[in-house]
Amino acid sequence: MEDDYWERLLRVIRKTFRDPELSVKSTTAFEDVPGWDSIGHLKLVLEVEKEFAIRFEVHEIAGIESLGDLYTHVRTKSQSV
Amino acid sequence: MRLGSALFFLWFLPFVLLRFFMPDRFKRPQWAWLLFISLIYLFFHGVRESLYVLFCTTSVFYISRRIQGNSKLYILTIAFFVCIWALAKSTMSMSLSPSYVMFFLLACLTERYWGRLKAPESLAEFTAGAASLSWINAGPVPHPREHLAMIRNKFDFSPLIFREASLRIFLGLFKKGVADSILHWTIIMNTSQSSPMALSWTKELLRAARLYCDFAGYADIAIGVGLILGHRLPEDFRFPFFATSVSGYWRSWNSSVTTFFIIYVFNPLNLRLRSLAGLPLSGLWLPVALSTYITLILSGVWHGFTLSQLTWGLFVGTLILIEHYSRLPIVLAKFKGGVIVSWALTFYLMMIARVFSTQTSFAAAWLIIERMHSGVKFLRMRHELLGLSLAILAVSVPHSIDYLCLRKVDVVSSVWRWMFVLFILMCTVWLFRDYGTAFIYEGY
Repeated sequence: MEDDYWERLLRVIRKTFRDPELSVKSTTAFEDVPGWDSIGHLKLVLEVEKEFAIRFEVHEIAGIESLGDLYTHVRTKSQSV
Repeated sequence: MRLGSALFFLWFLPFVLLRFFMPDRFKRPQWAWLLFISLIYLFFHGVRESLYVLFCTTSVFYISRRIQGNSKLYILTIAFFVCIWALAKSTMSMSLSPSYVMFFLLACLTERYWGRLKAPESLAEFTAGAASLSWINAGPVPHPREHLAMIRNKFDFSPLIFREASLRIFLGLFKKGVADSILHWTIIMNTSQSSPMALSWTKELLRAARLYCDFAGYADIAIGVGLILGHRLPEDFRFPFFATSVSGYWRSWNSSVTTFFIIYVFNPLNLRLRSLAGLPLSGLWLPVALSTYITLILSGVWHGFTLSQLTWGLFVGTLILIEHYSRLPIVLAKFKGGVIVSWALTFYLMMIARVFSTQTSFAAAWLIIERMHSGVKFLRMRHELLGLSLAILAVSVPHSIDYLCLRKVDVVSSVWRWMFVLFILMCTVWLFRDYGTAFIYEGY
């Protein structure tokens, strides 16, 4: 998963949660990210939308439970744009 | 007949288990037995309860077939069912919780509107899914897609699952026994000659412990019974008293309902408000604040239409927003002992919030909060110290047993040993409790 999408996604995550040294994997659940809450979840999705110029539907946001899920959505959406 | 009652365990559950001893040809389709026993359970409760569940389920089944992408129908249907639920909750005094079936049905409608759930094909199957919630599940609210898929799944008797289910049921019964005993201690506390501050803290700690044991006990029994029937229901309590942030506490207390509010209220509302106002990302705080307050106020008002519940929503909403923007738990975690400070602060704030959610009027809640901070004459008598110690034990012991059973059971690798310990604890608590009460969940 070490591709450009993942690197950019990691940058957005670190910026959103204001932790430049945050270490996460694709299997990391959001509960394990310090500072993650429902507001942070939405904030992250909005930042990702801005970074990748994509759009998430409400039901998709609810379905994202891990960074791997977010990565899959970003990749699929970016490639279909 | 209530979940957890002697009648339930001695008559109803063995009847449910009969399915496993039937010839294979009587086991098809999978949901038929579930529907049959759910209907028996419903009719056992009364005509009113049965009509409520069957009317709502049948209506949602037919409406959900045409609701996808139809905004007008969706809004009208949601408004209609919210009115039905409010009527059932406020005027009908049902012996079954009207809320959890409704949560499930509203989630079904919303998922169908979003196009995330396939239209249910069989009314009987859909009714089996929804009606079973009224007895195995007036607690944790499952996701419609997962729950309806489970109804279709083949399930057979498995000793491993049965062992896990028994552990959960024993754990639930133990907690229910503790909850009933605590109620008795709280009544005794009323007659003691303690200072207002000591008495208020002791009573509020006991109330918190009782609520936890009652709610989590119900959820454990529901999860255990669900497992026997091949349903893995979501965890409803994720050690809330160990939470080190207010948002963490909110997510770990009755977490399936919290998830319901986040998925179906907070997220759509937030995005809708943002798009309506045409706000850029820098202006995110306004829709965030509004949707946080509305979600928490709705979550509070769901418990009862009172000023104190409204205050609870505003209070917890403010705490979550302050915590999110100040990043206090993260900042504190960087210091030595910071996590303990964070935990203590969360626990204290949640104790205050709980006063609003458990009192029927704002004035009564405010009086208790004043008493909790009323002076220095604290713990001057031996019985005050004893009472407070008892309350702290009531909060910490069931929570710790929970933690050991649910988190450490694999490490110990002996479920039987834990079940034996729990069984002894459960029998001890039940022998010494004075009387049994209905689960608080069933009142919602």
